[in-house]
Amino acid sequence: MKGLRKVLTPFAPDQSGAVSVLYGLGGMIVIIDAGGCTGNICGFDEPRWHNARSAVFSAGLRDMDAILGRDKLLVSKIASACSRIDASFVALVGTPVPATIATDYKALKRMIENETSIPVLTIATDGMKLYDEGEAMAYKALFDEFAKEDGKLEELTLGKTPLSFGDGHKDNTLDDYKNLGEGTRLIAASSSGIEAARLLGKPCEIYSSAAGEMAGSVPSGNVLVCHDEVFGKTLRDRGIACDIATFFTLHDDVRKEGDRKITEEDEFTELVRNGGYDVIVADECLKPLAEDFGGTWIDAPFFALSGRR
Amino acid sequence: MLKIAIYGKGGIGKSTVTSNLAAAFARLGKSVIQIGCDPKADSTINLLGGKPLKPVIEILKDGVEPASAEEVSEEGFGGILCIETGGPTPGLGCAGRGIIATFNLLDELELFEKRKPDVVLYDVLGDVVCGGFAAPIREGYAEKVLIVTSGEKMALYAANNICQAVKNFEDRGYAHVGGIILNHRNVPDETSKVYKFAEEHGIDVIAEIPRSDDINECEDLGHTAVELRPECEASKRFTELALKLLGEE
Repeated sequence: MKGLRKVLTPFAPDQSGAVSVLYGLGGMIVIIDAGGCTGNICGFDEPRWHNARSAVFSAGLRDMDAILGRDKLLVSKIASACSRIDASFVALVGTPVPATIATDYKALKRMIENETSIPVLTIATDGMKLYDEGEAMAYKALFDEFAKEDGKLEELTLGKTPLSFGDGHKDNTLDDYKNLGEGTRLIAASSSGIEAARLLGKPCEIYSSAAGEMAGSVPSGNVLVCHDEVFGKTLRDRGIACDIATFFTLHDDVRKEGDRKITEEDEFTELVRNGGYDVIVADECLKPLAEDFGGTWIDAPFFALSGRR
Repeated sequence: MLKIAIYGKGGIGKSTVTSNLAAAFARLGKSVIQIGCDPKADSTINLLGGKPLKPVIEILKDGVEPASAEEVSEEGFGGILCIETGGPTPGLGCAGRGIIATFNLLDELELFEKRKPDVVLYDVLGDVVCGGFAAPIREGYAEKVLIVTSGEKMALYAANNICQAVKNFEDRGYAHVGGIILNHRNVPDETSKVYKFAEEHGIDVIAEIPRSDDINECEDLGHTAVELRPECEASKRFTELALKLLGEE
């Protein structure tokens, strides 16, 4: 049945991806929600929350705020918080609530900047896309706000967030984005990095260090990689002939014959059943969906799929 | 690019004014897009020979994801690109959200970047009843609001509400009121009433459209007066207005 999940939990949505990029940059992150989305982000999708706190707030929207469009109340709450917290920027992160009531982010940005003189990033995530798209939107917002043509940063890795890399994530700093320039070399470590580069109209190198480290331990044979697309491409670039399947975005830069984006659990089951694979490289959480598989399973933890770090 | 939103009381003639103005711009050689932002989806019908256009929401509701603006639009008189947002069945859903969904789609399809129009006209539902109906005057969309009114009391009442709404949006960087179009209904003291209203609000009356059988007869045939009877008095007024707006740009 379409959309029915018997094994997997719902994947992290786009607002979680946006926060994953913004977390720890020294800004004040305001999730425009009633509280539940913020709870999900901090409680489930953001492993850094438990040992490296960042200023993540919920807008605490209530019924009347939505009905009356009380943007000014939100602006005053944010201004009040800014007077007590030393924030380098304010980031407004969307959820289904502002998407439904069509909140005007450009207007909010203008109003908050007028009130606080702090730069405001707006990320119009809507909770209906997956985390990788939200990450790319957050990168775009950071570039638009902070990057300069003459920035001297030589290299920047995009997409190496906890959602894609678990404990192997690598955090950028706000200065990295402020020092971005036309000459900065971009490295896409996961799908969101490719998308961010595409949004910027810039080329990028596609490489996952996690996949690079694993390449030597993947036996030869008919291999299926079900992970992030960059993970699969990196294995392929290291000489492992494989098909890539991903629950997340599959860009044309990566896609080859036999690759596919999958949405349903059943699609993965069918793919394994009919693909004749000897080796599967994927998070172990997918194993119950491939009960007939008798080949070698190489565990490749993927936080966004399983919550395993 | 000249980006204008036309507001006014329901039934005051917004779609008639917008379509004739679009046709006048087209006759002046301009590339024009007209976007009807009313769930009734009848803004552009007289630019399309009387043929209704399938609204964007009707297309989206079937789960279709259009890959180009051509899939949600049609070219009418003078190459005017016609788009209707449409909306839900009356009494259900959220019409304002429908407008936003359409605008988001047009952004994704990079309509303005690819088409590079000289003029974009938004024909909006009578009152700014919610955020969705203010979407056409948000930053990045229309820069100028034109209010269509007659001298009738309720039309002026609606015009006042629109002025007030736009004023409330000052700190948001929204469009400003660029003038009043007096669409004559020939009620007593009409001209003096509208000019008095305009003066009180510090707005200019930038055009007067006479009550015209030419307009009605052309619309009966599914066309604008500017298309079929460019020499009639009403058409001349629309052309003068188009020239004035181009001159202000």
